[in-house]
Amino acid sequence: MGERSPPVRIIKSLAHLAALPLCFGLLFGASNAAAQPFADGPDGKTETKPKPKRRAWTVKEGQFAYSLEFNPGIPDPNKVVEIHVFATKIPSTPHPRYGNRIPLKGATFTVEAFNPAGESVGRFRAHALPLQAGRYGLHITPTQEGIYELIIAGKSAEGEQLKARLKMPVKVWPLPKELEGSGADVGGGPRRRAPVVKKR
Amino acid sequence: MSILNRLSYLALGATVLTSAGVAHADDTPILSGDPLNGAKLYAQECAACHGANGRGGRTGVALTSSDQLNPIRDIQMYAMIEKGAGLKNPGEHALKSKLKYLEIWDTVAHVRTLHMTIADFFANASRYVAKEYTIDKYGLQRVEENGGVRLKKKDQSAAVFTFFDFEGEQGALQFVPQDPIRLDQLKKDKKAGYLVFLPFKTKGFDGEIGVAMDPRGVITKLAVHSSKKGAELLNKSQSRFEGMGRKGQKTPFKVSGGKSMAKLAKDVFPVYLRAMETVTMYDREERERTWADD
Repeated sequence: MGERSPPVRIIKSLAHLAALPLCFGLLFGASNAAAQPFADGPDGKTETKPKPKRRAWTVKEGQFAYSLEFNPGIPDPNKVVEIHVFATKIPSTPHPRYGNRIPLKGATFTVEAFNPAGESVGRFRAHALPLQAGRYGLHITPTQEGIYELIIAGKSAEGEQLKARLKMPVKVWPLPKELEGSGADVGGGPRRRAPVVKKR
Repeated sequence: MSILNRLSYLALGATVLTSAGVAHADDTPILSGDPLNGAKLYAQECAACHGANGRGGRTGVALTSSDQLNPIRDIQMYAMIEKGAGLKNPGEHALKSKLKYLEIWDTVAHVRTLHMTIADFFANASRYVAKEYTIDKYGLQRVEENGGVRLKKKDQSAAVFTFFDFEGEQGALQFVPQDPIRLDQLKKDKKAGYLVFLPFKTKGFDGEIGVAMDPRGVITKLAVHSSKKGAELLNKSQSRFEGMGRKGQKTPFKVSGGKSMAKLAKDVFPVYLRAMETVTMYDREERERTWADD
């Protein structure tokens, strides 16, 4: 009588198997339940988004629009930041090929950087990027944390005055409200519309 | 002190000098790239041959001579770094595979911090010409008579930079090649001044000095490179010579300030004479070019 009958053993082992998911559920479910109240951080604040790898900002001054791309998006002090400036002219009537943003070829301009204290840290020449019409590039190494001011100044190939001001946050994250977005709302970003005349 | 630290101090010094509470300073020299990033790249790619501070190394030439490096324009220096253009063994110097487009410009900007640049003296000028001139025998005689110095063969030549102002082109600093048509546009009345870099030795200093003059030969700026030991004090003392001198000057400079200033005046005067005589050679060539204009 000491030996159990096979059906009893089968029932017992099945019961053990059924209990396994319950154990797992208890273990992980409990840990999840424990983590739930702290998902937004101990103070109940929402988690900040990671810094963007690249950040674009558009400014419009008169008949010109400048779309700047910062890489990294939010630079750190003493780390180089690569700035690409896409300088364009806004025509009174859309251009058959470029629409309402004509790339400025052959422009010569500089970008002067001012540190958060308002002191000039240098006037950097923007170099025309090879094989990219209207695109210019430069490097800046900010040395302080805070909001830098950049002033674009120069001339187009036709001798028109180019001037624009914008802000560059350095290790400022999350961004203040006025620097959120792409800045495109001030004058509209580059049009993504297909050209009026299609190439054959 | 590391290069980076030194650069930070230089930048800070330049900031203090140029900002002076002004929101936007047009006379701030234009940088061809980011010198701080350029310093890091220089340490990686160039320092092994040219030396950590640019004073030359096993195979690389010194990059501290303002007289020799200023005639090389930024675009030429870019081509030298990118593909070794203009060098004996271009392949050995081509860094195109190691440095990106903007990084090469950063390196150029850093190399410019190793010596004095023309923008340090004439940041607001529009155009300039550069050419090496050799003082003729009459000039050598004048230097010897008035300055008491007999110039050696190697000291008789120097590059003269002549600057011109054009309306609406301030600060462009555009190089004008030795092309008769383009040179013809450079009229005497548009001349802003001259600049000559010469070796200079005085108590506690042995290096190079930049002598900037207006078209009459009056000193507008005397300066040595700020990285040199004692440069700050020396530049301050040298600022007292501004407004002195004229073409054909024979008598030594007289400045108050005791023995040390008298010694400095004694050392500066022959250098000024030498700069003046080199400029005289430029003037002679200019007269030959523009005699029909008057």
